[in-house]
Amino acid sequence: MNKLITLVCCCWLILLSSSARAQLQGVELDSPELIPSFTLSEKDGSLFTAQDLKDSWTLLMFGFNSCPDVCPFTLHNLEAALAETALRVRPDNLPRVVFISVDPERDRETVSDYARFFHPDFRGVTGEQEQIDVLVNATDSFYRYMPADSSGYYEVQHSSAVSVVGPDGMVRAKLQPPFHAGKTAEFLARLQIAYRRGDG
Amino acid sequence: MKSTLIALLTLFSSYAWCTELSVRDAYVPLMPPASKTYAAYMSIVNASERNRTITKVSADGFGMTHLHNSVEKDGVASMELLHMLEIPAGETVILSPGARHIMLMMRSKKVSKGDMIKITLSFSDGEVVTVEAVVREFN
Repeated sequence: MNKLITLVCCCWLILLSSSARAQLQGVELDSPELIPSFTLSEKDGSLFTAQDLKDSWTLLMFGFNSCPDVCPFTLHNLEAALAETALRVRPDNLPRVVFISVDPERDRETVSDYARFFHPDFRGVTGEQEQIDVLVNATDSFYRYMPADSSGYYEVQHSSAVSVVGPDGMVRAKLQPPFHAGKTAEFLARLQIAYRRGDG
Repeated sequence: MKSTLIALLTLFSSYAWCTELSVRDAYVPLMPPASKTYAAYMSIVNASERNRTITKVSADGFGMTHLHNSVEKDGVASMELLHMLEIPAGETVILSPGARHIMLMMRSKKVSKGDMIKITLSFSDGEVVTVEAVVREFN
């Protein structure tokens, strides 16, 4: 009997620690947030609206194209994480990645090519400031323009987390750096299982 | 004779410094074609017995080059300008994605996969080290 109790405790501890490890890459929101109506667009004029968030999982990332380190690093890691996720979920459950430039002034013409550079299916969008702000607020994200230097270059500080939107159009979780491919994939797969069970 | 000896010694000592500082694995990740801003990563090895400090960086084909550190504080990603970068005696400082890096701005010519970008590291003691960083995929 003692052996059985020990075995059960060990299994429980292993489950607990593996669950904690998986959680490191992301945080599930206690109360999912519905994203209200917004309109952004790609370079070719294709619209990106709240309708595009329905019926599929979406990862929303904020950034800007003149960001030389964090943004390409994140997009590259997301590409790797999605390749891992593809091994764990059905093709129609594989999240779509949308890169939202919070710097429309400089990025309107380049944002779509920028995102596609990291994966042909990644979408890059931007738009009017107030439309960007709808998504920023709904995902509890942040950005701020820094003063320009003597060359006119300015940095844009922005949230590092990536928002996970469920097929119901609600923000359900945040992915956090460093976006480790395997752990992020594990987190996304668990999130989807919880969602289908109705306890997500 | 004495001045020749001093000159030779100076030459020898500066040569010795050169061999004590080295750079490994210098690369610049390929970016989307329209990008004007790139990052360079590398490992800077200081095999000498004294600390060395980089005070200036420059890169061929870029109008402006800075030493930067990407920081994440309270969930917000931002960059801080580093006015200098110390390479402690006997240590290796690694510039890597998501952390310290050399930011290359104001690109003046096309950057393609396989290109070598010449980056110059200037140290506080006057030594200058030039590095050839290869342009390659992000990995």
